[in-house]
Amino acid sequence: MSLELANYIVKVGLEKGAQDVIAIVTRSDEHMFRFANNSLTIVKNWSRESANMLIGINKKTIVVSLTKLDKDTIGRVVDKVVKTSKYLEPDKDYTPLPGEKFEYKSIPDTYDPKIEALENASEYVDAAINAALKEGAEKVAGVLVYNVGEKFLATSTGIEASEKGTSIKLSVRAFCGEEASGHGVEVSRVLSRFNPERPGREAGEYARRAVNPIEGEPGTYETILSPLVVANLFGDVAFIGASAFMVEAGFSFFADKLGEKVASDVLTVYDDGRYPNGYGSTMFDDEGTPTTRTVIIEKGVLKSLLHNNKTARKFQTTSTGNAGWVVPHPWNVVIEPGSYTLEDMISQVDNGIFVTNNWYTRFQNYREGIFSTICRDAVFRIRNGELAEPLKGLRISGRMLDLLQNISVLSKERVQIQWWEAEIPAFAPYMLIKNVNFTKATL
Amino acid sequence: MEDLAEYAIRAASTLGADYVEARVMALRSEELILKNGNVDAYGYSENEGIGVRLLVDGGLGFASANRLDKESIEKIVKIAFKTAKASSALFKKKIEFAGIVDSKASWTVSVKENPFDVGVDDKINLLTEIEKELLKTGIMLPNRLFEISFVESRSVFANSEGALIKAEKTLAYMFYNIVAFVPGKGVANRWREFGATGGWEAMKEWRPVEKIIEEAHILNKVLEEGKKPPNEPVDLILGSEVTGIIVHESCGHPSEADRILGREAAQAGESFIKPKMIGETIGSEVVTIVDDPTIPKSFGFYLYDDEGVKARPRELYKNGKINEFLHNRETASVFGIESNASARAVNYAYEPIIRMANTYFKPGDYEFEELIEDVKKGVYIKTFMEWNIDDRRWNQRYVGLESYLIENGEIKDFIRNPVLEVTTKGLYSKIDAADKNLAFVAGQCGKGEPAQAIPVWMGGPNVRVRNIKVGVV
Repeated sequence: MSLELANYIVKVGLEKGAQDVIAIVTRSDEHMFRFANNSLTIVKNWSRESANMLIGINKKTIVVSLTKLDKDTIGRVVDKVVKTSKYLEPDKDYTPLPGEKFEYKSIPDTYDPKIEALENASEYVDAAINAALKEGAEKVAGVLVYNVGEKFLATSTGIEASEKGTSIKLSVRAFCGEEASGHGVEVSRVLSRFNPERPGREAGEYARRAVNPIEGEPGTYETILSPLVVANLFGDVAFIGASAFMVEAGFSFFADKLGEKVASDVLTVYDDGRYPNGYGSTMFDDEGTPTTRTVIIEKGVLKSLLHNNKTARKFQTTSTGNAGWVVPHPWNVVIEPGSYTLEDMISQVDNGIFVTNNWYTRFQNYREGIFSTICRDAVFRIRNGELAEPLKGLRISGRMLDLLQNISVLSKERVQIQWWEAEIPAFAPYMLIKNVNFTKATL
Repeated sequence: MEDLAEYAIRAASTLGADYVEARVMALRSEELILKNGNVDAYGYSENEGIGVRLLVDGGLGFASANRLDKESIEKIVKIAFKTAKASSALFKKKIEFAGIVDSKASWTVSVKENPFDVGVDDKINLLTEIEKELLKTGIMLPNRLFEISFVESRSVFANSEGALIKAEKTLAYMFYNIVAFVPGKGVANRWREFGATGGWEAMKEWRPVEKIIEEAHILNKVLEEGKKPPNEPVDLILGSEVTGIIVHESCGHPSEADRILGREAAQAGESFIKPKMIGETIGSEVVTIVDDPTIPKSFGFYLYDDEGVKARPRELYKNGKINEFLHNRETASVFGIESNASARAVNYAYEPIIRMANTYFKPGDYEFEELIEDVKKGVYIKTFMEWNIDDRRWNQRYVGLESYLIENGEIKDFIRNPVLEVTTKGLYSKIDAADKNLAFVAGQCGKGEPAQAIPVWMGGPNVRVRNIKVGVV
């Protein structure tokens, strides 16, 4: 039914005079349980449907989004934008659809009928809160979200594709007293790989261990970043840094650096739209190109940007399956693991800091990657290879490329992260980074 | 739209909801992007739907759908009711709404020039004129991105207490990013937003061509001439743009009662302000900060909030003291007061939550020259790029972009990247004067889950901070 609708939109577009048309129809049902102070605060539900169309006409690009999907509305709006196109300037980078046909292979662990059939998942909230309280937390807040969604794509070059997926995720923040908190995140596409107690325990344990923090001292430290922090920062690496749109728009600290050494030898990062159980995994991008694994950084060398067909032609390469019609974007940021345990990493550090979470990463200068970000939740001093006193009041300040160059060790453990402050899904390890600069308020 | 909202209310009341409200909206929007001189894309959207929120047994339920037929509405009302009721044991703190809201009103923000009637060629011409004038300056600007958008919304809000509010408004928005390069000196970038409730006329009132050209010259000069900021404590003058972000971050956000009560703890965070802190000192006598949704043409304009409560200005900090929190009906009930109309939802698909509207530092009676005339050594930070603040809104940082050294009461050389890294009380305690020049900037404030980027204005006059360290990046 929905694929028929996508094909209908393509047909209408061609009839009205477009040369290239892509239609994506999506439908989803989503449910959210928000909680704070150990109590639910709201239960939310969404039943969504929409149609998005890319219309290419006389080298002009028009993007349309509609939620009313009757034929009259579709006909009226396509007619309107086609008429408007006469007054548009041609897009100098206009790229016709390539016309290639593809086969799409399913991705393991991206759909689970048990999630689709979930009636009431509030028991998972209860389990997460209780796990955190059991660890010693006094109050717990967070969110549980699960959904089922379908998307249907059709193009004027005859591509047809469809996909159904599910996901469930839980974000838990636990508090002990006024100043100590910890955070845990659990993300999965299937119920069998979802454990609501694990992030609760993690958040509760960090909160308990972080009580009575003392003011941190500014300076340069050997620093371990948790997967939450790595996911936040590497979301920016993969999107602001590596999206070809961001390079052109002047936001990327990787501009003009393809083929250059931008990071330490130990760092290999790729975007993988087909990662099993990946929150962002999808078989095809918004142009119908099959998603794939694209190496962004290999052993420290910047290997590729992320492209749709249009940016790829501009950069004289081929699409990496990351459309975004206007802005290419990553699906899942995957960082190659190292061989260390977190305990091994801590034991290597004589004089350092362990940051378990962060937020509010902002750039003074995007092109040079000058930024700061604030430590959030538990922060610990590391002395002589052991976790020592909890700290507060610190901020990381520096250059993204320095940070990447100074990565020394990665853990073998990785956690899938996607939450409010790390929107781009990531499979993130713990990272040990040398010479990380910390600042604090002077007044 | 009205009959659909009322249908939803009847359906939920029949099921046994203690309170129900429905918001039906129709939105259309238009967007243009010019990147490095090229029209990247033209975007057009039409978006409609309904959001229903209800109370049952002390639990709060919400459901939203795009389909606006009775069958779909009945379905989502049932889902909202069922999921809230089934989870009621986990609503350990029962939720209540303060007062009775039965306002009946209809408000429209009329536009001088409806942007949807203005030709797309005129819109492109505006952006290409900026591009052409920028290139004429001869400044090396490797990247230039300009975006304009308009959103028109029509909404009907109704609740089971008898409220019925109809509203129509249009938002105008512009975003730009320019990158300047000077060989041997590096690059600097400036992004900025303009926003207003209004039509095509807003674009002209902003005078974007003139302003962006001026910004390009300044970026170039910051790169060419910018010196290191002084290392010792100095007097500091903060321009309106900087004052605006400061009051938004360290007065507006911590005054949100839902943060104070911990409801946003896992996402946007909590507040250093505790429920009993009204009347406590937070800064000098000069510090009065107001949040006012009713400023005409403002980006955060509304006359009734998204719970149907009539809007009014709120004095958050008054003469240096914590004075009033931003409330919705839920937090007002906890505090035993009436809501001051701070509930806003981006659209029908989101729950209304406590938001700022237009937050500003109340101007003083100084002239700008009087602020600087007795500054022996100082720094004037007129604009900024990097900023952040912790999730209790205490420890914050702002890094200046257009910034100058002040010596013996005169503005001198450009300085580069002065850093203000301070606590809220530390900063507000050292403010000793504000001038008369109130100005605002637009922003999209993020909060809630799913995150809602809500249009706001932030502003203030130029303010003076005595004897403060301006670190170096």
